[in-house]
Amino acid sequence: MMTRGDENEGRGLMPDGMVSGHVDDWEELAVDYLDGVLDPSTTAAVDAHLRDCPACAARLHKQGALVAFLEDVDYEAPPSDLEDRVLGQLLFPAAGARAETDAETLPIQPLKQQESRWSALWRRKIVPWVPATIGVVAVLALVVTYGLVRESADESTDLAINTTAAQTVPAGSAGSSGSGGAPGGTQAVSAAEPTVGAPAQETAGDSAASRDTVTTTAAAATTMVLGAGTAYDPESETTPTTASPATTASAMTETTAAVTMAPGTTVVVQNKAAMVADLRAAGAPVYIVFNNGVEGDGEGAGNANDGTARIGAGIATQLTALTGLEPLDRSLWIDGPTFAAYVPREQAQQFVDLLLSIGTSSQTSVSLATQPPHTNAASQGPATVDNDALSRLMEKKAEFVELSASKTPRPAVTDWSFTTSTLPPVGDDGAEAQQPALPDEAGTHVLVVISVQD
Amino acid sequence: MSVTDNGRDEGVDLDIALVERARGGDESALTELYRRHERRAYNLALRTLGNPWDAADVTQEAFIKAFRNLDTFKGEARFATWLHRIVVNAAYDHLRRRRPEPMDGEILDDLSGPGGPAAVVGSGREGIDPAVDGLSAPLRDALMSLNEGFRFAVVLCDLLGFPYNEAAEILGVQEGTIKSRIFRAREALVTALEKAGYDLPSPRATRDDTKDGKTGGKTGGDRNLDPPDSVTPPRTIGDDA
Repeated sequence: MMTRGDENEGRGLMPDGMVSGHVDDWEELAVDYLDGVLDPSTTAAVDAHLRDCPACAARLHKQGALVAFLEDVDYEAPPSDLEDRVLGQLLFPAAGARAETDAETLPIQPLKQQESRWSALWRRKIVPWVPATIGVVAVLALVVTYGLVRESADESTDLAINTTAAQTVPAGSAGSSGSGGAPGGTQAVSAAEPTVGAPAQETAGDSAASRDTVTTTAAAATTMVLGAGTAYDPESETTPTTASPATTASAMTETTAAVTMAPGTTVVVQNKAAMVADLRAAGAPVYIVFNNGVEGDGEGAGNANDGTARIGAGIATQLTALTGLEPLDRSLWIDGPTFAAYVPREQAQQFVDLLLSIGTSSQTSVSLATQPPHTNAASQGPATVDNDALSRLMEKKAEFVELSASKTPRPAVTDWSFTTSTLPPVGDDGAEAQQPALPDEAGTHVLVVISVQD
Repeated sequence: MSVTDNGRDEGVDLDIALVERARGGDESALTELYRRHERRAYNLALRTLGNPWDAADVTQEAFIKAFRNLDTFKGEARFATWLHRIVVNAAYDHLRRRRPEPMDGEILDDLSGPGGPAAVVGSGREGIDPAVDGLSAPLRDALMSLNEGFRFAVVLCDLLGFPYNEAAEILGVQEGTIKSRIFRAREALVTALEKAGYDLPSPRATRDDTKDGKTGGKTGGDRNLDPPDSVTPPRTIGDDA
């Protein structure tokens, strides 16, 4: 590995083949000289200088002695328990707070790689603390959306509409909630049973009261969930427990359509059980929104202040990395990267787990609704939607893939990994010249539209 | 330098294979990957931090961080380079968090380390006395007295045997920068050791005849380094005109 003479010219060797100055002027050459890797002419130049300069010669000599000495120093053995300490933590991570902290402080840099390898690694990071944090997701979402709502009380944004829960409020109870007309958008998270009527809610009649209402509602919501199956409103014309998804869906649609979303309307708090239930029961497309905060809102969503778009991009990347699902074409986007897929109904639980873990890891609220998300531009009034994007999206229904979860084989840490697959046509009746039913029409899957809003 | 190029390449390939398996959840691959690099990583921490307790903490922290982020290793650098970069960062963080006093011989005498009670460190003239970390106190003091950038450079290259280009990658600097730092680090060490009255043993003669057998000696009388058995770069045959 000879360093060539012409390279050395920039390093102290002069065109006339001599070195200029003293060793300090050609430190790199000196190092190479001591290693014996200089080409002959450069070596000769150094030799010539050293011949005439005892000071430099002495310095180089001592350096040489030092280097030889250092190279002889033996490695020290690490403490015998170091390996156990390291591997113990890696292979048997402590669940709970410690792992949580470590996972959250590690830089998360998603990369485009093959999904199987990717999914495993991601889940290894996320899973240890997912069980621990799922319990607090409700509170987290509460905190995040509460922060959002406080702002929305002033700006008439339609966050409230965006985060409307798929409320399985039976049509009957709409009137029985004690408020005039439709409930003012204060929808509590219903329990697992679709037919649990919303308890008598305090209507968000005016923005002034909305703030308090949020707290109350949220609290009510949280507790309500625990009482799954309880019918709160026995007198109302509650639809029977075995309400078919279609009925429930239409009831939802009617109810929410009738709602006038006044500014400052309270925001619903999503929680996992409700989301899973809604997803399982949905008969119409379900809309998932990742929302990490409005412009100018620095509350709740931690570092949403700087690089909100970056977080949004990060979420989209995470989603792709974890599932293999690619974002749709830009023309179909609803306020940000948008994804669509058919999720098997019976895997609603795993799917919601996935969404919530992404949301928690990026401190972003996740909401699930049967209404399409409201675009940021719209203001109060009936929920308007970027109809163009949405209808174009729906036209492509047949092209969407299936997003399903399968059990990860051991020895991976995680239980489930997601993959996408193109669906075989369902119910292909050769006899009738009809299009094969799409998975959501056949009832086995739910069409999920995920949008990541900045 | 201490490893032939062939040996180094084989090691690199093995690392790549182990990383792949470890990413897939293979615990034995992870363990082997750890064992392959533990010693050098630990010594990097040890020689730059100056004591075995901090070194163990930093090494542990670095390995855990590295293995938990195995997915971010893109293979553009060697695994060892990538890993030791993490160790360097962890060590730097540690140094920033706590600025320990330069380790005195006296302080060390009172502490019991992993190797048992520290031996009293004699004067450098007696050669290396096994102390807490295998270095004589004057050498350790001299190392710790270096500016950190210099210290890392000389530890990586002269103590751990990393080639300059790899050391440059690890520290995130140009190769020329590394060499310049090395040069100055060595000079500073020499000065510090001289001040401590520590005489470096004369370099062994092996350095003269490692390459092509031609001893530097007094080739044609044009060597002006004294004493005669000084470090002499090998000369190519026929080059003593």
